[in-house]
Amino acid sequence: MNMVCVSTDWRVHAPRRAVIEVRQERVRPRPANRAVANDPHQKVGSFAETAPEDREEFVALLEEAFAGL
Amino acid sequence: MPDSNPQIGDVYYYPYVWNCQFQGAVAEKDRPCCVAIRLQTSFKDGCNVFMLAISTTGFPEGGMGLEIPTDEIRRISGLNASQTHWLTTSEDNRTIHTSPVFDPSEYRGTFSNDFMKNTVFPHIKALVLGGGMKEGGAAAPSR
Repeated sequence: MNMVCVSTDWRVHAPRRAVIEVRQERVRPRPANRAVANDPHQKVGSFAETAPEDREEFVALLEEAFAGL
Repeated sequence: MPDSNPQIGDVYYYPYVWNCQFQGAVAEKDRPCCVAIRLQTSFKDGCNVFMLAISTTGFPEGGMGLEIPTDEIRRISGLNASQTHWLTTSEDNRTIHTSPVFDPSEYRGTFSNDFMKNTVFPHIKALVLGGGMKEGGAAAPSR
């Protein structure tokens, strides 16, 4: 134990420790033996193949969605 | 927060089906995929979540993609930031936000709003407006 003299009085000297930054990573293990789960609602598409008559409506929906970020 | 309600920028392990696979194909494996778009209301095909595949091998031949910045890769657990990762934008998988595949255990992280808003969004918008690789080609059901 370290003792220091403060105003003619001896006190225990407990130096401050540096704060250690702790970063906890959120890693969830995948369930064991999990088979590939198919998505029953899945469709394959392409943005470039959006029908010409749908483009304006789709872009408006996109802008609405990204405006919320 | 990660949950079963996917939002723009979230990365999930997802059973992605490539365009080059035959119709009705099933995913070869789950791969990290980014929720590129989460619409408030569903589009004409009933889908409101658009997933883009993440890979280290680039994008399909003749396709398009974005190189993902290293800082963004570091936000996703399970991805090696020392490798170059690509976001394939020339094709996507579409689904609905209530799909059972969006399980919290499949969530791996979220790309920054800055990356999604300033890089991914303009790219997708340009593809939609300037696309036309195949006129009127709506999303083809894969199964």
